Amino acid sequence: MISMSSTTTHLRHLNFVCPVCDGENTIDYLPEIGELLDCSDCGSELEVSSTEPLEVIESDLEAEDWGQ
Amino acid sequence: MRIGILHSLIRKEEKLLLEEFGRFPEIEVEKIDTRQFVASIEGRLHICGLEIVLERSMSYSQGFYISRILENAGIKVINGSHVIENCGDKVKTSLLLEKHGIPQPKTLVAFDSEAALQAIESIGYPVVLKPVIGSWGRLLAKINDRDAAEAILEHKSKLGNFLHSIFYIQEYIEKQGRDIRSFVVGDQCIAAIYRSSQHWITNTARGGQASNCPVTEELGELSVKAARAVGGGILAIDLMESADNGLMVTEVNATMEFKNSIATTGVNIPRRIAEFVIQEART
Ligand SMILES: Nc1ncnc2c1ncn2[C@@H]1O[C@H](COP(=O)(O)OP(=O)(O)OP(=O)(O)O)[C@@H](O)[C@H]1O
Ligand SMILES: [Zn+2]
Repeated sequence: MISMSSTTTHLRHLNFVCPVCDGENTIDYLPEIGELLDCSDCGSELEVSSTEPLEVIESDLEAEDWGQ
Repeated sequence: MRIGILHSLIRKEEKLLLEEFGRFPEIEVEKIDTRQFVASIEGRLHICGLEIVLERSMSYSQGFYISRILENAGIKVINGSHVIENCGDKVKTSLLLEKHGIPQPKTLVAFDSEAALQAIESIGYPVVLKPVIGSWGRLLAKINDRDAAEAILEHKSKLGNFLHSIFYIQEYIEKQGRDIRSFVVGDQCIAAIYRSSQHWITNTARGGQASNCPVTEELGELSVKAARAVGGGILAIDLMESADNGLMVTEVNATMEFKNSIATTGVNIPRRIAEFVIQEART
């Protein structure tokens, strides 16, 4: 789990580092806890575990009863 | 008014729903994460004062059990736990569709691999084998001959858990490269899409292309009827157009995904859902 702080310009820019590939990622809004984000480098599915500061973890592997 | 959203991961769908509820100043939304949920069986909950809960869990079992617990504590849940149960298991769905006279592909159920092989041969190839619990087109098999049937049945009974020895066997429907997904909210079919693919599995999660499907009177009526058959609420109906037998229902989804269908249909599906939930909370 890696955390990064935010630098606020007029648009909000939040950074996080992918726990899978160490890639630097930036998003321009405040996500929800539990929200899914994709790593722009390796494409891993990441889950927001905290927002202040922004922290992401590798998302759970899909369970057999997941669906719609 | 306080409305709960029961969720696990927050997908685009949940974000859009939160946004729509946010447009109502009088509504306060409480997010209930299934992974943090603990309840005592006597009915004491750490959450209270909720008018209604919208169930959006990605896990069928967790969504079902938590909804049942909330209902037991006197909280209304949409979709109700009986609806989640009816949709989460394909045998239960098929029995209800049959009971309500809704056309579906010819379906046989068997519990032993030898019996399943006989059932497959009695339908004739190709047949489709589906897990009774599962979604997104995972572990569906189209079986074209007896060799494949024997292999798949052996794999299922030797490698799978006990649920994989409930054999749900269906005739294969020639559907001309597409099927239909319709969206029902309460008593209304609000939109539908075609899902087209070169592959026989057309789910958008598996690369199927979505395009708008006009809601004809026939499609609308059949969709609402299928929704009512499983108990009603907010439901997505999967249908196929068979050349010989017209529209058939294959399944009903209780926690529907819709992010690829808003722009395609021009219908603000999350707004319709939010409005329905608020209206249900008031009745
Ligand atoms: N009997 C059948 N004949 C031909 N195609 C079928 C048949 N049953 C299902 N399909 C196709 O397989 C795909 C998945 O079907 P189905 O909806 O039953 O599976 P699922 O895993 O429950 O999917 P989901 O819950 O995500 O909608 C669809 O594209 C559907 O058109
Ligand atoms: Zn990465």
